[in-house]
Amino acid sequence: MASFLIRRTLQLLLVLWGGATILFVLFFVISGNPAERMASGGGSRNPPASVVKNLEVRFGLDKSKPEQYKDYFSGVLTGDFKESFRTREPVLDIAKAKAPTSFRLAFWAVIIEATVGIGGGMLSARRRNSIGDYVTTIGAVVASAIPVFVLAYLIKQVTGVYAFQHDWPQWARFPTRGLGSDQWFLGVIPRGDTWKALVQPAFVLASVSTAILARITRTSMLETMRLDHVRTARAKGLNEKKVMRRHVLRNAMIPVITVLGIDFGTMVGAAVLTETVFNLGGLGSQIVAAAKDRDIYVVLGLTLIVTFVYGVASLLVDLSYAYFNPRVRLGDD
Amino acid sequence: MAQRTFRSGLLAGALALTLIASACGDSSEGSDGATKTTQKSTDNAALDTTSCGKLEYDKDAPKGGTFTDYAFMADSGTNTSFDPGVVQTLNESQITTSLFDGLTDFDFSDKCNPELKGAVAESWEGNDDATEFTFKLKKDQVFSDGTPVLASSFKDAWERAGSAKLASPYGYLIAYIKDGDKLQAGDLDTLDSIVADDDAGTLKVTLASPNADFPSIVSHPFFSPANKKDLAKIGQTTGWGTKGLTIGNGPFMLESATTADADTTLVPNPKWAGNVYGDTEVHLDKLVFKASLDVETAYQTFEAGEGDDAPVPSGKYKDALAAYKNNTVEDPNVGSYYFDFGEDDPQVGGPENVKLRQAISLAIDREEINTKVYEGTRQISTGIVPPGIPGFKADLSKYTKLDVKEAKKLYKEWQDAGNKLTKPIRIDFNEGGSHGDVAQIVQANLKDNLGIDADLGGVAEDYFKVVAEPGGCQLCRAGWYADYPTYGNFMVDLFSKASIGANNFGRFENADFEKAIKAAQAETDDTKRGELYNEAEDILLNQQTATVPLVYYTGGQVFNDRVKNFDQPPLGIMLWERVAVDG
Repeated sequence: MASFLIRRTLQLLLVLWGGATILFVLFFVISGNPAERMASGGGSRNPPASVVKNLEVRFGLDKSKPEQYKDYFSGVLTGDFKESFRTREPVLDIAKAKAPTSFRLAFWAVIIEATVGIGGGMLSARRRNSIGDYVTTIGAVVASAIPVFVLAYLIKQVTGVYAFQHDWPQWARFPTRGLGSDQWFLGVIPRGDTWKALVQPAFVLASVSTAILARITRTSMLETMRLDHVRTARAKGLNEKKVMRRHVLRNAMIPVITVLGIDFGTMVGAAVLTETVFNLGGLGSQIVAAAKDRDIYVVLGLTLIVTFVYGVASLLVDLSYAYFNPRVRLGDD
Repeated sequence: MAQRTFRSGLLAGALALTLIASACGDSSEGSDGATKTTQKSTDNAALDTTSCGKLEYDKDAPKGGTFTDYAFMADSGTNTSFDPGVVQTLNESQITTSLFDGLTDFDFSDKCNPELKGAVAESWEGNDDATEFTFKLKKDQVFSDGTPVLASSFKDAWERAGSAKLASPYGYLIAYIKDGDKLQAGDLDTLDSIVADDDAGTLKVTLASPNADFPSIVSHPFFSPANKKDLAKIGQTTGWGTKGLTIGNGPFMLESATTADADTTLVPNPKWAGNVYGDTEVHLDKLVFKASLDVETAYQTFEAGEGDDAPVPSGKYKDALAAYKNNTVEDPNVGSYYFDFGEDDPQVGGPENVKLRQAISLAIDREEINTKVYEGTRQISTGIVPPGIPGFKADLSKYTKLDVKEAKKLYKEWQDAGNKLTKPIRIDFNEGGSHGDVAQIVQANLKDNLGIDADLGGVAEDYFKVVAEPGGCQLCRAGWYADYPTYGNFMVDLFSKASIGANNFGRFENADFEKAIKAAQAETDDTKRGELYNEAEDILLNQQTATVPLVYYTGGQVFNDRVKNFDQPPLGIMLWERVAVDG
């Protein structure tokens, strides 16, 4: 177990360094001069050379690329993630402002995904070819086919715009943006009006992945139900609930948990559309905005955070394998 | 208006550095609009200079209440800082100009004929050749913290704003002032050319070259004063909110601003001295700028009843106008959308191709562009300089109307002189927004009306840098929002020799034009200066036809019924002290 954790930690560090290096090369070597971008108001004019030069000096962009590379990574080791070219805010401050929203949104989206996706998949598998199975299957196809931004826009149009224009009661109206008063209990449980603001973006973010998870759960369970040990358990006279809980679910959950872990990592760092349409200002939308501005240190810093979250989520998924299937031995190749 | 960025300018006149500032570039298409005026897009005829209308204001509008803005921070990804030394966009300037009053400001009571008045300055006078100006400050002017606004408050702020260390995107504006280029280059820390006498209340400024527009130029936020305590704390750093200069002398004070994509809240400044309109009181109790990640989200929020104003997204003007009678979509802005010809291009540039350029300009159907691309909301250009700029002359250009017969005649004359197009003309434009749609119509017009083939040359990245390079522009898209309403802000920044490589994308260079703009810059009589600039524009548009004006910009916001006095001056910056809410 210890060797497994050490190995995975080293792997994660390698991934963080490798990923950041690739991004650094892509932005600094391929993508042109961030100072020009900054001086040009995001590319909307042609800036004077004196302005570009001053910005280059201000942000250390006048140094050679290897020097900039060395400066950046030596700074990271001491906790200095540099500052945004655009707003001149420390990247760490930006991360502190953006990360909580992304984590909370991803947390609730995964809760929805796990609850509805696994529940729907189990229902489909246990009552194969029933009306419930058909409804779940069709619902999953529809949900996975609707683009997130379209779903978000339509939901807001109904519960926000239409509701307002037709005097729906307040309880039936939902905010079209933001997280209300942004109050939380224990970090993730919404308080006050925040829950109402969170519901729609969380469902939208979870929509596609929930549909996919339902299909994976159904398939995995159906495959597991056909295995010999399940047939043996039934032959021994175990009741169906115990068969499902002890012999089907635990085995069928491994691919499901894997997908959930990946989804959480993705949702933290790549919920760009949901964040944008609901104006939530998380990590994903910030990374995209920074990339457009060639705000390289923001991209690098926030990507490091997302990669770290992704790595930790993968680690937790691997650890969970041992719970769901005791035959799995961590550390074995 | 959401994404308009102050445009840069260049060096000026003799010295060349020009300046200019900020003129807000047009970059994105978030600011399409139209004119509320009598001049509707359906008539391609002459503009009436009275068509801008009067700035409306009901001083008896309600006092108190909170205004929640969703219109001006609707693309928070462009926000950088509202510190006056570094503010870049028109959106951020909504905050800056609410917090700070400069030496001068424009009275837009008559929108087409703005009048420059003293804000903090009681008066000013220049020498005969417009190289030296002395501003006399009003007495008893104070910042919101009660400390006095002194002449040195301006000197300190300008030297900071133009310093190399601050690295302001508009730092080059300091080059209007003698040795400002050295300050910008980091060779100087202070400028002897700015003499502040706090006891006498005077600020004497020596310029790098003659420029009679200097009192107008200092109305730009870059030239705001700085509070000494604030300056001592912030120094030559900056950032959003309290990371930059915030203690001002304007109608509002900053209550809170955390990050560039969060709320910014302003409250009235009880020590405010008043504006150039004579107003001394603010109507609102609170002004909240809500940042949005995109324009669609901001507009949908407004539709859901969550705010007081919003930007109209491209493509939704008709729907918005039908749904909301309260809008600025028809308010004229001092901005111009046009295409430059590459002066150094062998096919279209140079004196031998004047008739070809004139034929092309006459063959373009601006009405079709306005109708199909801008939903009929913009105003057809009659020149480069828009109404609202002092000296504006309607119908100055002979070649901004659709006249296929005359176009064919000129094209034939050009061909008869032994000229021939050997390959399609390249129409350059920056991808995104609706620029490609405009280019397609121009392409079709040239083919249908003159039989000229044209290729579309969309540029995805660094468009303005690309077309500013030698050979980068053949027929290239451009746009400009004025930083301040002066003729020079268009003629000098966009077409002078000094601005080649910057915003003179066509690399236009003409001795007569240069002579005219230099004479205009040195002319201290406003009327004569306007006439000299008219001469320069006549050379540009009629004698050389170096550029193709298409449409003038207009506003682009909607606001709800409870809002009063939401009338937008042509520069695009709201008079927030006048805005009121009912209920």
